[in-house]
Amino acid sequence: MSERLNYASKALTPDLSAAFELALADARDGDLAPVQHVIDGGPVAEGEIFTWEDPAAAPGRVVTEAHAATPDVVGRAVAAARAARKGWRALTGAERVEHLRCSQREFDERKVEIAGVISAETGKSRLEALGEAEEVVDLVKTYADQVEQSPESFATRMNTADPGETNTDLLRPYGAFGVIGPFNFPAALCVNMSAAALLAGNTVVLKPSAKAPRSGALIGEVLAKHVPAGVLNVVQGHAYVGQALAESDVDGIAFTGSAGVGWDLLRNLAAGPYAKPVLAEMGGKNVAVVGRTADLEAAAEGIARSAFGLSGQKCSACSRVVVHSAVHDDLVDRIAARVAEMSLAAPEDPGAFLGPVIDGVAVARFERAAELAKKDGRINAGGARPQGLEGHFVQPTLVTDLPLGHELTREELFLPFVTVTCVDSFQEALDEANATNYGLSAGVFSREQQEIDDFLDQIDAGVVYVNRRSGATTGAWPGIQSFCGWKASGSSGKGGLGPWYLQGFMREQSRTLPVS
Amino acid sequence: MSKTRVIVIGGGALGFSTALHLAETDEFEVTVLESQHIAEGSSSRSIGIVETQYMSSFDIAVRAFGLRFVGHLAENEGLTLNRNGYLRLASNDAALEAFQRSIALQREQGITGPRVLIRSEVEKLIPQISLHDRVGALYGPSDGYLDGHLYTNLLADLARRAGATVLQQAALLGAEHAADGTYRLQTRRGKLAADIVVNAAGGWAGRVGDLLDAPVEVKPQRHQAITVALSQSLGYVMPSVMDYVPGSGNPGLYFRHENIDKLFAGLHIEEAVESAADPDTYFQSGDQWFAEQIAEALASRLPGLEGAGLGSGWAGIYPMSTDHQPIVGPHPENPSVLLAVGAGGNGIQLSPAIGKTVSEYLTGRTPSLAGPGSPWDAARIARSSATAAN
Repeated sequence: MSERLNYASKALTPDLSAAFELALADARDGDLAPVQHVIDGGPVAEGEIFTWEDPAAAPGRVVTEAHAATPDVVGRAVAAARAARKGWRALTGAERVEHLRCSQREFDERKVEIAGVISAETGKSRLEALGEAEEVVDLVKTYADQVEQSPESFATRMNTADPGETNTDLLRPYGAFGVIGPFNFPAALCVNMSAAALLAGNTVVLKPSAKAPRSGALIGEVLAKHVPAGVLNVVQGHAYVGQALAESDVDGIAFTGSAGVGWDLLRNLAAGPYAKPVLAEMGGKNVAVVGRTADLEAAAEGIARSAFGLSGQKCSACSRVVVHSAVHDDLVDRIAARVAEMSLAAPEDPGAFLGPVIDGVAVARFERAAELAKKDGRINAGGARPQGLEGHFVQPTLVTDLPLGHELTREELFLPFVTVTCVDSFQEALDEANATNYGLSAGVFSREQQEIDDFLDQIDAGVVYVNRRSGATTGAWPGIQSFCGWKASGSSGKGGLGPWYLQGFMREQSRTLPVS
Repeated sequence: MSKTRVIVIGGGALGFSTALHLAETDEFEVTVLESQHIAEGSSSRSIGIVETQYMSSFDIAVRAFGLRFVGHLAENEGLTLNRNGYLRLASNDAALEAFQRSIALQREQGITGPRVLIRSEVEKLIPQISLHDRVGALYGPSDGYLDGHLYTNLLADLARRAGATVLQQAALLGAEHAADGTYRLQTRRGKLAADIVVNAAGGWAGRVGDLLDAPVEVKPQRHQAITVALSQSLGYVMPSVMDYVPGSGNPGLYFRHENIDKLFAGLHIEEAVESAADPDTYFQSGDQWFAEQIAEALASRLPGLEGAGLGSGWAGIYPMSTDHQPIVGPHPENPSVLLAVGAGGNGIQLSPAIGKTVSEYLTGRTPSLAGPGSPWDAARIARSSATAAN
């Protein structure tokens, strides 16, 4: 695959499309043996078998079988990761980069295969899946480049007060990290957290999402192959396996997922004699603010792409619009017109813009939200399940006229569901934009510099976009944006994909040594 | 009210499963007598496969219970149950049809994973295999294996925790059967009284039966297994592969994963084709002829295992009944004695169902898996002895 894709890509070559279709069919057939864990460099097949069904098909089409780790399996994986700490941290940053570059190359060679597995398990469109596979490669590259470019692996020569001493400030790995991945970017986010942890000198026990076990397994298999035994271990299973991992003897946790689970993890891991680091990237209630002078075509396009791409299941998906009353109706019409043109289909359909949501629970959440929207507001587009599509499909939905502060404008839904709130001034828009607990991404559409400046100054969000037609709130890419959620959206104030992420996996040590 | 005193003779998988099931009811004072050490007999020599790929509803049900039971121990008690999957190979289309029926029967019992694989699928699953003379396989992805020694010791711990007493180095020397049905057992550790005695003595069950005046015939069969040292890691967990055709009269090759650089292999048969072995004096190491036979069988079935070598072999006992089915339940002539014997080469995987069945008999319930009239019913041994008496 020579094409370079990202989350703003709109088309594929026929060759790549055909290759993707083969990979998708292959992945849907599944492997004959259930997905196994990886402990200390070897496969482990313990634990009951759980299944995952294709969200884009009628119920019952199993795409993945996997072993769910028992507490004993988790314990052994953690023990292997702990035992491997000393050897792995003894390597130089450059040596660890060499190991990870091997994974980067293999990811690059297997992009289409990875995309097929992602699509089979999540139902995401081929553009999204191939984009994610590309991101997998770029994530490793970005962090490996950072290590290479960091002088002496993040060591800083300090001032010296005593001529008989040298003073150095180091960043050293914590030890063994538990890494808990989400379903929405089941490959990229497992790589994001694992590669950063590894390059920072930690060993890892990776627990991929139970809603995409094979995507995580594929990532784990490649990463594990190119590091010494025990440095990267994989355990599969449902939330209780993640729970067991969090409660184990790991030195820290990296988590991407819902705010409820993430903040529980943080509070629990802070409850011991000392707080272990929890690098958590959680959801959002991401807003697009549209001023009265905005280019409404650009705003409608950016909002529709961010609200409905990946069926609203991106952490950074746009789920709220706050718009000046002067342009409200016009904007709503333009978004609705785009919704009407959106193709909702399974990934084997090359024209699919959005696929299904992940499971029946998400569909039930959609149905409840649609009911609430009907009762308390107005559904301008969508609001139902589409006819003639089997699988967990729901229509992209646009809702207006909800009272200020309505729960649909406050709580994350993780659905293709966007609300539009009408206000009478730009300041009111910013106040409303900030009136949630979340603070991941936000976008503004305006032609007035003062409004843009006010937005940048006042918005409580880590990832902000100005007048971005290709995505009002989405589309972050390694090395280009950081994914640094504020408030309930992130635990550390530093984000994955960005320049300060690796450092979160390390702790400072100040060394004062005698001059020899 | 004092509890019924039950003495279980035999500290193997069957004895401790029985002791655990009994102790958990809280109706019995349970003591296990073991002549040597826990799992000294067949239990620690087994390759420990637990699976449900059988052809009759009954055979599947008792094994499904076993698989759930050991699965529970793996989830909750730290038992290592390696779910490497199990493949029963088919040499003709009739076997594949029987496998389809098995799948339907297993589904009725809630086991939905098994499926029939055609030859090319088996070859994809096990790239090193050659199936030129086979058409496919029945595959149970949830099946697994455990270490018989560790499993039996875990059962012993759990039985103790539930209140059972375990006496090792306590061989049965003699027994007095009083008119009221109670027993006084003479053992190397002294005399013990019992209201009920369970014979779970594996290869020694015949002798124990004679001492109890509750005869039962077992034909201990010596079987061997051997380690296969891999020259390089396979990168996947080798399923258990069984190339035995039930009823064929010929032993079939089996092998399974043991660890990253080792397989176990052996020859399995569910019929008694050899003369009875003496459980005290049989040769416990491997024979050269056996190693040669396995080497030949592996070379033909797993030609892709280049550079693999054979390691050490060992032998153990299949405690077979005369009709190759376990004998479980009250002794037909002596209701103070319960039988848990004759599980052949299936003792580990049948031990949960056998222990549960004995416990159900003793608590006065109709056994849910293998009661009167079932293939395990101990009443069937009366007919032969009655014939002899006449």
